[in-house]
Amino acid sequence: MEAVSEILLFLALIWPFLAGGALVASVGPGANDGGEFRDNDTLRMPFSISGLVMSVLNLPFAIYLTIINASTTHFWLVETPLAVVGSVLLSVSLLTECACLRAEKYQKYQPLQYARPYWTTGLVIVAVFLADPFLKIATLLLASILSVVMTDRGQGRAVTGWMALRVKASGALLVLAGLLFPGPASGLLAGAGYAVLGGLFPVTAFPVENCDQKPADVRTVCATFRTAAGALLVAGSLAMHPLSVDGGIIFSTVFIGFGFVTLFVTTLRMQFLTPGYTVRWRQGYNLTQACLALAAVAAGLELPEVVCLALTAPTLTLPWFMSGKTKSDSVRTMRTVERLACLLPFVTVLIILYVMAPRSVAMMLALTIIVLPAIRRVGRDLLPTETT
Amino acid sequence: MTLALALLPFLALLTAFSGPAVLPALGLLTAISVVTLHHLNPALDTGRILFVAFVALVISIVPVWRLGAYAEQSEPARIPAALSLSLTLSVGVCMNLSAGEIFPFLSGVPVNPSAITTALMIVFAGLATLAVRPGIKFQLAGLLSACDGILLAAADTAQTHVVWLLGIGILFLAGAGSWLAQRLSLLSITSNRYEHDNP
Repeated sequence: MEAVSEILLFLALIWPFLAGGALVASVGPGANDGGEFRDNDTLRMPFSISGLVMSVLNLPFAIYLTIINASTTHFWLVETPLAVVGSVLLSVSLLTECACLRAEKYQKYQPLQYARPYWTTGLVIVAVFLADPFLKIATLLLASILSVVMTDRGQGRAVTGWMALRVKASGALLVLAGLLFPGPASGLLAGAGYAVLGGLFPVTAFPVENCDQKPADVRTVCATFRTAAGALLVAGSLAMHPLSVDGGIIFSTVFIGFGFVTLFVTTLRMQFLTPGYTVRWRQGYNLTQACLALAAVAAGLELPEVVCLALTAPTLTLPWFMSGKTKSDSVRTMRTVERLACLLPFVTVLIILYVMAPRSVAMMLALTIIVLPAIRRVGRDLLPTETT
Repeated sequence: MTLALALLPFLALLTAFSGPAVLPALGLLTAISVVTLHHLNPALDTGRILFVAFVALVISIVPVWRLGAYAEQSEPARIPAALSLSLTLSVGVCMNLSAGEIFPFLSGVPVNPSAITTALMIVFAGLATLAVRPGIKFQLAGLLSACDGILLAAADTAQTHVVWLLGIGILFLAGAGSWLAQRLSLLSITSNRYEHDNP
């Protein structure tokens, strides 16, 4: 049984890298002889689906091994059910991105650009599974560096790359300082570092795109979201198993604080959005940001399941908000996406309120007051009104 | 507390002021302090100490050498803001987080407490420069000095695999950073080349 689970885990971890390599090979040299790239649309969907299937197959094994109290440690990896759920979420994000971009046939990229989402997501998944906190943060940093190096090769992209690298590197260095420094201050430093990596308040997850008039590239936004989500998943596991007791308490407090502030700012932004044709994707951004903040609060409350639940909504819906309306997407898809985007964060807020109530009534009331007006506004903007 | 360790925070503060110019000295002092740590505490593994010293020297000398031919950007230099922020953070670290008071409780760890405090001061000074100072050369210098601080702290820990890991990660980071900096900077016209073109 354990051997099977080890093999499956290994396959699930190695798959994104193989898939990316295969995609690069499929648009390799000679593909644009006649001025046309060979189309690898037909490959991307099956690759994402098989990646998802491999991640999902790990789930029963992880649960079984946890129930019978067997060792879930394989070499440097730990296969907890929560890590598996996190990896499933990241695979689903890849799949939704492919499903959303399936219609778009005319935009062509460099060959390496096809592999980038798979390779960076593969590194983030590895970071979620690793046992050692130093290894986790080093892998996350490596994923950010890889993403920057592969995204911003083109002309005029270096400034964006440097901005992204600057933020991610400062976050990672803060986390490393926190992990290396003994004593209670380590929680403060690590918490601040993970907040920077997860795109919480002082640095928004999507800094540049918010001021533009049109949404950014779907791939870039999804990649940014996946790294931020990976950082939050890792932070959730660090909150569950802290290095020291004092540091753990401070870490949780710092994370709840950052989550609250981010939620406050984002809900304000949601309410005072000027109506217009941009309202749809702007609310999409804001919803994603709010979900990241909810995930941070859940991580601070030491509820990794709720972290996964909070990250589910943007995972499923973000690409459709960014891509705008295309003809191939049916009305039904759009309606489903909008309903999911409104319903899942609402459920998350309810669960967090439920958990928070016995701990502190004041915080619960504060959360309700912060979130309530934004829920009304988002519902009015996104949910279709029934006109009969 | 050796002389090299005492000079390190001072040099890290100078990064906010003069950027890449002090970076080689900072790297050299980091390498010397790391080797001195090994001298003070022979329980640390020799190979990893040499590796840390090597990485510190590489990340502080190679980017400066490669970026030497590029011009400074003429943006408003916010030196007072950067300097005051890094000074505040460093003094705050020194007063509130001095590791010497924590360490008597954690016996058996082969660590030098003053080195950890110094490392944290360098990291904060570097991150302040990275956050506040405009101009990519200065920001890169801040990033690399923060990396120096992390290396110094990593050389102190008991776990050996951490050192190798962080060294490799920091090498990647420095490589990507200097690649981007090189693309973002303009080549400066040196007087030498100018004379060569117009004799």
